[in-house]
Amino acid sequence: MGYKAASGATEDKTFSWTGLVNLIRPHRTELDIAARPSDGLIVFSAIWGLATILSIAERTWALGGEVGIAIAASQWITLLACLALIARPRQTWLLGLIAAAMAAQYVYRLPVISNNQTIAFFMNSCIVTVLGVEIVRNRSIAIDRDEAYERLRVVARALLAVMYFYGIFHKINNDFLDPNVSCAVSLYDPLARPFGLDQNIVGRYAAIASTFIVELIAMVALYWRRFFWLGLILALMFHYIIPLSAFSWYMDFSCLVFALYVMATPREVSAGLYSTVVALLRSLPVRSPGNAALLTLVALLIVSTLIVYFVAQGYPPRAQKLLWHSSWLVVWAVVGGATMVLLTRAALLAMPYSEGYGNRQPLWLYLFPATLFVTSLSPYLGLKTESSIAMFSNLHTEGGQTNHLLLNPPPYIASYQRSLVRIVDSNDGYLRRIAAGGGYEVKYELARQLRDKPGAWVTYEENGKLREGITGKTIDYPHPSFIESRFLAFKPVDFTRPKVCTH
Amino acid sequence: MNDQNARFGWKTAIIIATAVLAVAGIIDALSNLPIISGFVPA
Repeated sequence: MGYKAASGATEDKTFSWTGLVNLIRPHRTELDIAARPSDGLIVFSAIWGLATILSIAERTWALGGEVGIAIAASQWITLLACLALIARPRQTWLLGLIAAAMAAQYVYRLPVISNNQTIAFFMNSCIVTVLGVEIVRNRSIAIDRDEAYERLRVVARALLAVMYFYGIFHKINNDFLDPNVSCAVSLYDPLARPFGLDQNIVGRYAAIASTFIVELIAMVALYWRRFFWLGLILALMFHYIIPLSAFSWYMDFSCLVFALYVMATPREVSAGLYSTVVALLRSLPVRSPGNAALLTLVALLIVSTLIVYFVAQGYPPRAQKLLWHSSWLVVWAVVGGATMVLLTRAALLAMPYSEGYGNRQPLWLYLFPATLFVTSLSPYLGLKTESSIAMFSNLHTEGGQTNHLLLNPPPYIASYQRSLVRIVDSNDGYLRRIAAGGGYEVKYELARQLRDKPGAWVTYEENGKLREGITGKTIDYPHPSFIESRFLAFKPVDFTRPKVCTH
Repeated sequence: MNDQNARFGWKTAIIIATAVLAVAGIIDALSNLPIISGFVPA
């Protein structure tokens, strides 16, 4: 089964300018063709599949077995399942398989540094739990998709709210507000460079201010139905643009946010989006819309790769990684842009939103966003600084001091971040780079890394004393407990001020 | 259903704006590719 034919949808499969114009000048009557509220789950599944592919594409070494055969096998199965899900997005079991595989991988790889993989983990865990509860309760693998949709959308909305809360809160610090080092400027500069505006001070301050404004509006609008459309559109634009800076991979994160928004939107919006997408895919000369979606994606990746290959001929030889990143960037620019336009259109088309948010859902669903909320407070509590939605925030909380403007001094409940060492030299590339920048490490983190790398040694300075050639066996730091080893990970510490933007 | 939304109005303007942003995004991506800048992503 692929995409279900939208009853009443246009059956005209030929391209017409009128159809294109109608995309821009929507008719509210299109809403009548929406089949069911849970059609939003179909679009979500396809975009979730793409977000997972983008996540896998960032870590191609895992496919090659570099981090173990088990992970490689799981990655390949997940990748194939994602492709199948894009072609057959009604197959709930495929969504469940992908969610289970990604959640299991995340647990296996703990502690995980990636913030977007952490957010995805909470959504994947929720998908597995919701589908599992349905199966146990109904004693059948026939899932009630409408009910699953209603439950998942509550969690998707709350995860977005938590993400935006910390997206704002962690950035309330001196260095994010500094136009010379702010992470907002690190993203702004490459975006503005083609237009010659990268050094523009007004543009830099606008980038900083707009980060707060957009994320604040997006967060509030999630729970303010009347203005949901405003938050949605601003968020779509914001998350569409971020990967285009090429400052980091970002595409899986933006795609994940798009997918969560498809779930969080009023039902009529996601159902309207579904109808429009199906109508567009049906205009392609392919039998099923699902196959059309998959073939379009594959064709786009091939064309993008060819474009990048030819463009690359005019520049010095680059690493394979940059060619790969460039190819996917073009794919994102097209797919992300099209999704942004179509979701914006669906949101405006469905206004005013007539229905409420639906029946009250079980309270246990809120455990997923609540856990993310609590664990993301970790940097201020002296716990982990990685995987706390503090990416690209310029936040510093280590050594008992912080650049945060509200929680100063940081209210530590644990002492991990108090014990710091300055890295002087090492035979490990990662630690040598930290040494070259005069950087520090949380001692717990250094001990963890040395124990994970049996051949590595490091020379570091602690409390004015130089300790040379220290290995995982000789470092004077207690072995972590199981819980510590699975949940604590710390960023390198940078005491230079102003603090430059890092991950 | 009413068909008021079919006329050119602020909603249409916003849709056009997002479409323009998408086109600008494609142009920006093509002119700012990592293979051009050589920038190694964070």
